[in-house]
Amino acid sequence: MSQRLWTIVFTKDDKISRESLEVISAAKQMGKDIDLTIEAIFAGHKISVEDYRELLHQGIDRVYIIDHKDFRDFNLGAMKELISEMAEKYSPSIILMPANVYGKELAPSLSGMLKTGLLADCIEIRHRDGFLECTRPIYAGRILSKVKLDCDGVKIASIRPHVYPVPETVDEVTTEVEIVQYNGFSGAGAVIREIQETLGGMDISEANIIVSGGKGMKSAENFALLEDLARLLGGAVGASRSAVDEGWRPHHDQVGQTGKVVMPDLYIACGISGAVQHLVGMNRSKCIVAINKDPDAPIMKIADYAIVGDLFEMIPILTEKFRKCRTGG
Amino acid sequence: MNICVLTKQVPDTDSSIRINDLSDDIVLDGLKMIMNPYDEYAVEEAVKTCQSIPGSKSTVMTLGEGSSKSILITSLAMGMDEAVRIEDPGGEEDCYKTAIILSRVLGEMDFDLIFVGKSAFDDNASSVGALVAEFLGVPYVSNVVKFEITGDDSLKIHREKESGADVVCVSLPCVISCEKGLNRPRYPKLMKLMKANKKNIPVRSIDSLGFTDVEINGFEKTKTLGLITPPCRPPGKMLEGEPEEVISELFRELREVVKVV
Ligand SMILES: Cc1cc2nc3c(=O)[nH]c(=O)nc-3n(C[C@H](O)[C@H](O)[C@H](O)COP(=O)(O)OP(=O)(O)OC[C@H]3O[C@@H](n4cnc5c(N)ncnc54)[C@H](O)[C@@H]3O)c2cc1C
Ligand SMILES: Nc1ncnc2c1ncn2[C@@H]1O[C@H](COP(=O)(O)O)[C@@H](O)[C@H]1O
Repeated sequence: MSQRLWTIVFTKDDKISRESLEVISAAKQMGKDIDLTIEAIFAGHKISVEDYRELLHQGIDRVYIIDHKDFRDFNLGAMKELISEMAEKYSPSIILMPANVYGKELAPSLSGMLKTGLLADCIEIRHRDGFLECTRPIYAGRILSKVKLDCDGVKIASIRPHVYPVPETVDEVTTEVEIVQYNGFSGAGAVIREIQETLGGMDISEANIIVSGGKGMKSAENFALLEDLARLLGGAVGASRSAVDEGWRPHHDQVGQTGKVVMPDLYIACGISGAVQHLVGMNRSKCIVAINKDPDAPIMKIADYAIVGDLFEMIPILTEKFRKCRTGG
Repeated sequence: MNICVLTKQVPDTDSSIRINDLSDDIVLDGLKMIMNPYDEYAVEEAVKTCQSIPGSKSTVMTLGEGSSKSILITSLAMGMDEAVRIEDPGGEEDCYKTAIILSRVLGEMDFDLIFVGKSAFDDNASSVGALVAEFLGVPYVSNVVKFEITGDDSLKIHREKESGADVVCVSLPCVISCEKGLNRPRYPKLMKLMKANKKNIPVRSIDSLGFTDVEINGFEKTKTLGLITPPCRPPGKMLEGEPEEVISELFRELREVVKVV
């Protein structure tokens, strides 16, 4: 018999977030091993078809639409109440969601509410012999742990962003749409008062190219060098914790154990020594370039291209090369 | 105001973490154990908040084995009033189990605010705080970087998220997880550490909480199948010499070999 798998959809800037689509990939992957009915839950306020059209082209079986003012912003209390009410009615076997900030609030809250187990922040998830099994990073990514969910009832997992690909869309729509009623949240909860957005700049965890600077940058002003290069490459600027602690960059841009985990196609580390707490945040990048005066700095051992030298000499030359190539010179 | 901090002992993040021969746990021998780094923000915030509201009391609590007493001593030296250790029942380490035990003890207390760390360095689950909140039936807000008491029983909180921050309002009692940036944790002074060391720290056994072994086993929802070390990156190229030449070579490789730009 087919089992019901739910994916929870979060939006970002009023669009379905990339992480939410990646979770659908994870679900489809699992659907190769067992017979699954894949359904997405989309909760929002004043929803129009345009808002969720993308979900209809993912080749999934059903989309549940819940339109209520409580879902204008992320509301943990309302969200977990809605899903547990729905779970009682529809009995899903598996619930997946992105392990972003909202998912990391919702997944454990639901697990407590439904008295069931949770696999948090999985980089791989599969179904084996009736159980859910995952691989998840522990010790800030220095070890990978294989964990099995050993419990009855619905099984919950959150999936680390940017590990699974965004699924390929299908032209033909076979996805059903079902409207679900929700009567509003009654309990005490945390409610968003105002939304504050980033003070400019791109979210580094979504950038394909990151130019990152550390203590070796010596000042906030010198980061202009990296901004120039990043702009040319269509990338974002990251930072080590030392650079953030100096007040040169915002915490949003910090890469590492106490910052973000990034996996861009290209990571250029400038004046960063490569402490293990930094490496765990970027060592899954496709290509790593390190520019450092010290050939023995740890970052030089993991870099695909380790450039020994003064970054203040090297970076402007590199920027100039890309600029020439862009302008066809 | 009654404030509680939950803290966990973890290996120092600078240490080399190795897997044992059975590949089911890490080698703990010789590892320096410390307070989970995010929990330092939790302790600092609790101490600061208590200082600003006369008549407040702070309690720090851990579920752990005997050696985890040292992080409670650190917390006391940082300014927490009371400490409690709950003896770890052993078995599979599981967030659900941890949270249900912690919330049983918290349920016996009268608290307004509970601070936890954003995530524990060892299991990286970021789950215990949310689960505790759920078991106690109170709201939860994660990744808090700024926090302000408004009125008698409500908080205005900045929750950091991927692309910025939300300003969140929540009523007390609640559970809050602390993110870097919330404050600058103080270093405990030696004198205070020595004083804290002499303080009697009560230990609660699992039995005293009224759980049966069968119940405890039932709280273990996950099972670790094995640990692996992530694959190393293959060795790269070291480029040394005249800046112009070195960068020309890098530029060529990036365009032709890696094709990333
Ligand atoms: C609990 C905990 C969590 C942490 N979390 C993080 C985290 O999330 N992210 C993080 O990054 N760190 C983190 N750290 C800190 C980490 O241990 C290091 O202290 C930090 O990463 C060092 O930053 P850095 O490489 O910029 O500075 P440094 O280690 O000081 O390195 C500077 C480098 O710049 C080079 N340099 C200097 N001048 C030049 C020049 N002109 N040209 C070229 N090279 C130059 C030097 O050779 C040196 O290698 C954490 C630490 C702890 C204890
Ligand atoms: N065994 C424990 N004892 C006390 N607090 C804990 C324990 N495990 C986790 N916590 C708290 O929960 C936070 C998040 O841990 P985790 O969910 O394991 O990532 C930690 O920073 C602690 O504040």
